[in-house]
Amino acid sequence: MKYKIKPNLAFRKISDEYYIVDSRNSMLHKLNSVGSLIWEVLKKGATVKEIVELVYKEYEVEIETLTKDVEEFITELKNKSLIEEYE
Amino acid sequence: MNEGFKNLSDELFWQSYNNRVPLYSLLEVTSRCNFDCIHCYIPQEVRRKNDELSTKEIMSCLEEIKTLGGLYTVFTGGEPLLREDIFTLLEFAKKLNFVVILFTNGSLINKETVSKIISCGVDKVEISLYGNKHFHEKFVRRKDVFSQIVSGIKMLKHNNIDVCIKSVLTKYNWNQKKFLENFAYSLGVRYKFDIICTPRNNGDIIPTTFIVEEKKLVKLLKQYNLTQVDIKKDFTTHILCSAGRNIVAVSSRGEVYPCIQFPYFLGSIKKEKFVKIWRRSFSIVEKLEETKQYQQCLNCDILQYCRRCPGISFIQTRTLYGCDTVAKLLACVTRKTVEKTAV
Repeated sequence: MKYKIKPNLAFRKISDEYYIVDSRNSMLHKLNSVGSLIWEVLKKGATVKEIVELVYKEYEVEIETLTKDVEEFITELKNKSLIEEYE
Repeated sequence: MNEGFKNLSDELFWQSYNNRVPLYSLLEVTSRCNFDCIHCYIPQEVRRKNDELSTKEIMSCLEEIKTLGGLYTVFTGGEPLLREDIFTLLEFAKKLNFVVILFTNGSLINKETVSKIISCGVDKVEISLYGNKHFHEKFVRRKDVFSQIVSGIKMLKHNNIDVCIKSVLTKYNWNQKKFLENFAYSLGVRYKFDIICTPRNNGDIIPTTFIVEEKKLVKLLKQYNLTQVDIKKDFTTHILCSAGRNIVAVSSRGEVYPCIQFPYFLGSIKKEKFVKIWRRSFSIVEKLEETKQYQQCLNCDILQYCRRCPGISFIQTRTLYGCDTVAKLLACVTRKTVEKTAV
């Protein structure tokens, strides 16, 4: 399963962190540096496995913990309607 | 969230302010207009010229603003819907992941334009309305346009577009405030107003004489609790705004300004890259922040009530450090109101 950013969202990276505007509900979100790294990959679309591999290259943490964290993050983005599944 | 910020919006504002990111850009895509509003800041002689930026020039500018971190962009005019390529531009801005806001007089909104506004992904449409049919048409000096505008607002609202009705309230349409509030409410859209009438960009101060009478201003200031003195700790943030720091405007001819109401020429995107103009223009911010230059303000006894606009001051005095007489008038009224309330 791949995930990508929902169309029509506005976002910009300022000082290494992404600010995301969802005009549908007038919500403003901010991602920390790890979240922003993941957001970069989601622009083109990625699976959880691909995201984990990318984050692992930057932050050498235990794969099991990292996978759990990435899954939680993806669920959070999905619940906030910021990303969608495809393929 | 970092400490010291009221909320995330506040944090975004200050991050962009401190890092000089053009977070808010306003593109005046045309000076042409099918209305002739009495208070318009664009002088008649400019409104008639048709030397506006090309599609490609606007697209390049948007790309550059994006690379600098620009997030919110407003398409305004003149009347932006008069541009044949307006939907191409709106769609392009949306593809660059901007928050896209369209300012329009609403007269050209019909079934077809609504459908295009939706497909472009425009985030918000702000429509100017100055009163009921009689007052509005007198204000914009065009007949039989009111019903078309109302129909446009209804269509946009029906299609879940975020719509806002806005007005400049002057002594000529002051009595329309209640009507406009109720009308917006009945249509289920937001309403906002401004009481500042700015001089035209060529220095013509006639629009500033349209400001509502003092008695009415006092009533308004009390109603909206605007009497509270808002003295910032820092003189520079009190006397200035964020124009040129995280706000930028580009005129229909490609001139870059710190704000559309602050026509201090920073460069032209017809001659240079926007990024180059923006980076070089930090000197304007440094000039504006030379506190000691504001002797007139520092010696003014209503400074603490004054919400001076550097743009209006610049148009009026052609200097960076002069007095904004419109703000001064309001400051005088504010002081009187505060003093009366205190007694």
